[in-house]
Amino acid sequence: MNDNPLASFPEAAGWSLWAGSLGKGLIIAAIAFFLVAVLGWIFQARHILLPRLARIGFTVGALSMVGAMGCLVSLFVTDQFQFEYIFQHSAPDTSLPYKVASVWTAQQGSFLLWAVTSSVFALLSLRKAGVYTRWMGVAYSFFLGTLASILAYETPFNLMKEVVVHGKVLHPPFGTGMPPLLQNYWVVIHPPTIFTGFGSLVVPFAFAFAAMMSRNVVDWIRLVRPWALTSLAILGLGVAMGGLWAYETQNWGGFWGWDPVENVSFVPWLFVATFIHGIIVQSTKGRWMKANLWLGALPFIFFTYGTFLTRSGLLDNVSVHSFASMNRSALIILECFLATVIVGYTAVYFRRGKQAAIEASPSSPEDEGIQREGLYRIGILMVSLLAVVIAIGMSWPWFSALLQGGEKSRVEEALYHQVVVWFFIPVMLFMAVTPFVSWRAMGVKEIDKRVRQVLYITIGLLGFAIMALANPKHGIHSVPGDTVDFLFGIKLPLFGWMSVLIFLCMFVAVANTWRAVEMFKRSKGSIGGFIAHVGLATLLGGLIISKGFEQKKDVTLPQGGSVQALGYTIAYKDLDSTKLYDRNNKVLFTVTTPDGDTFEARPALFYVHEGDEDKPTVWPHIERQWSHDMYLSVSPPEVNVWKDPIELKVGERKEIPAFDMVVTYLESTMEGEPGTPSAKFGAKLKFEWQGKEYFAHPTLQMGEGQLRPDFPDALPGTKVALLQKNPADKAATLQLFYSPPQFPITLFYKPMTCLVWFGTLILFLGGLISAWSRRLRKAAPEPAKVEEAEHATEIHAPVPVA
Amino acid sequence: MIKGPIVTAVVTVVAMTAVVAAFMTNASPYVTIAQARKSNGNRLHLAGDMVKGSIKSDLVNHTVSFQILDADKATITVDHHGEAVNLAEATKVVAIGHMNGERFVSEKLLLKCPSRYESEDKPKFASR
Repeated sequence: MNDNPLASFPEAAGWSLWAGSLGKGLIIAAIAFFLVAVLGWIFQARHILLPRLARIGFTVGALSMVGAMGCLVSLFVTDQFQFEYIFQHSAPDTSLPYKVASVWTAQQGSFLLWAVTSSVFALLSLRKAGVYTRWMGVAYSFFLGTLASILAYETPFNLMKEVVVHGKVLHPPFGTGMPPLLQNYWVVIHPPTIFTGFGSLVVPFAFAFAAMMSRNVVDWIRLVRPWALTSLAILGLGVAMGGLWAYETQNWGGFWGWDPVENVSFVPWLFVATFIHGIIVQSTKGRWMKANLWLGALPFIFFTYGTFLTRSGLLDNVSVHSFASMNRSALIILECFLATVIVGYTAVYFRRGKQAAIEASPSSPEDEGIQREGLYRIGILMVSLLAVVIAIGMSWPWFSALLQGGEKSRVEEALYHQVVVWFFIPVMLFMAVTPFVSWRAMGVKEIDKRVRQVLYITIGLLGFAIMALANPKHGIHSVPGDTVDFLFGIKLPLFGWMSVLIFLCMFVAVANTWRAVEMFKRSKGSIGGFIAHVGLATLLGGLIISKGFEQKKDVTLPQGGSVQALGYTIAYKDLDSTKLYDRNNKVLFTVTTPDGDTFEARPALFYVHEGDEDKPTVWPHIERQWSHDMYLSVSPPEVNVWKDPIELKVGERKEIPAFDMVVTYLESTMEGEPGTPSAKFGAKLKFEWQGKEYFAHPTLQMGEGQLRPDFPDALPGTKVALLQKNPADKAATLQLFYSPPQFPITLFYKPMTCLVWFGTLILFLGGLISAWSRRLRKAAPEPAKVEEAEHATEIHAPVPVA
Repeated sequence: MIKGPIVTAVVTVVAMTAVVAAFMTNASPYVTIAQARKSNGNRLHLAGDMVKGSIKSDLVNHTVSFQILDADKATITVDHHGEAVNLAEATKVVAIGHMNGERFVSEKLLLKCPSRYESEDKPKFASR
């Protein structure tokens, strides 16, 4: 450790040390409070004050977590770099939103964020938990106590060892800062959104657990419904935001890469979606009580499993999201918690839940024939299987090592697509047809009558869509022979396959729009579900079209010149070389479209000086149109023509096959006295390229204490430099440079990307409408009456899907 | 009615068997450099440390090349075709592709950047 810079540091502010200790103290105190809460509620019968004590312990514990977050944020915004976590993730010149966002850019802070969002959901949902308060409180307190214990080890409040000198804490005036790649508005809004979603997952879990413990597996469904809907909407929004973030910054022109970290958030979302449908069945028919006990718990269980998987180091070298391995003690706590939850929940289910559900279930069997419940069953089964498949896929590096004797392998994007589609096709068909099927049994003819019009409209629209997409004016030059690979060597024509997928999305969108319009007059609140389905279909359609019909071209653009790609002309416009270290620096290009319109592309390129290297960061430019996105990603300008300098002996003739070029070292030259400033070493060269000969005479001359090369012209658009000359045998080391420098550019044409944005928006809106219409009103009717009322509407029309 | 649970069980077993079979036969294997040299697979996953300062671009072929040092301390040159990636920050890399003579050709890279989410290095005052 270098002591010199430390000596000049001022002493850290007293309040900051106090705030750090407070944060640490609150977390440790929270463990004790939650312990009191758990014991108080479990043994509440022993003393009249115990439930009160438990409630207070729980509330104070949850607020302590929020307080700890407050301490951390205040330390971040005031640049208290004596704390290791803050030193590593913030810097004084970072703007305020990014200083706050730095809180969750790493492990400790994101765990704290999960604890805080969970605490808030726990506090809010416990207010109206009724008979379930006791056991929900136990579940919440146990979970939050575990998170607090993890945070006691994974603490963001540690001081750096280096700044504690002779009992005094010094304040370093700088920090390492947030990596430039992360500095984007999404880092401010995406993590809080998705962690709010993660935090909400514990609510259905706690309800399901409490329902089993209190042997009342009926009433919880009405209470949990708004929470489950909120969870679905917020988590869905968070997942979608993650995709949009990747699209805007990652340079590969895609939204979703089936990365384990993406899957960890997607799998719980799928399970929440199945749970919502389970709730609908139970609140309408009074059935599925056993299944719902599981569907409510699985989102949380799978998220906890995913957290364990991504933080445990089991996926080392698999995920592009690199998390440092957790503190060992913290990881053991997480593993024990996961095992306890799985084993404990299963045990409680078989000891209590199952029996309670059987007793409460009506004796009447499911209706014969085709009715909504039966379709829901298969639909939910398909979505659940899809979620399990994705969970297996993300665990594959670990599972494969177990199954195949240590041979690790990984499930790639293409393989996911090939497997996911088995479930995608039936799920989409169910999503389109089920809204037209009522809860009582219907004949095939009746269903056919209802769905037929929708089918005709869809086929008509599909025809239009295919004509529009096949029109070369829109840029989708699908080569007739293009195929898509499937498992077992099956190949399908691209256009035909895409038409099937687009048809499915349109079928769902049209069918659900139809139902939303039909239901609008009768029950406004009930259309949220249909709208969400329309949004989902739109989003999926956008993803499928923009990926399936994507076009991509790699080109190289000389600075100052222009180049053609995909019918577009890209001309270099400007780069301010004085701003290369500015994080807002852009390279400007003028792009002319095939129609003759122009726009300015502004991909970002800047360097950060780290150690003795300049590290470049690039961000793509996205030109958004209604019909397509043009996605232009630029790499740092390249100056070296040859990957490595070449060495030639005097008289040697060398072929460079990659460039179809021959270089000959004709003659070694020497001017002036060796060892004096006037000395000038040279090499006369001949280049043969494209049937022509070019001559150059690069030299090396002493200047400012070292040998400096000059850069004479060589081939057109290049300059050559003599980098070294061996004094003994006069061998020359040469490099050819592009003059001007060349920008490697990748251009993507992505049709109908706007559907991804619209779909996300519609999906979220639909979720909010559902959650709002199912919110718990103050004078909520008795559950039995709700069901009666819903059955009453049933007689006239199929009950709306919420 | 007993039909429901039976259908559920049958669909589940069939689907899971098929998926696990598909994964077992089609998932891309992780290999060491020595294994890669013997394999003719085309979606090999080659993991290792990026050799510092070895990144070079070739504009004619649109490739970026660099060297990987694997766990057995073997090195190999990787030619990467494909999207521009922020390579400079990477320390650990997984190159996905196939062998071409003595070199490894990758179509896709998974990068691990220490500064991306977590800094593995202890803070260094000297570097500022």
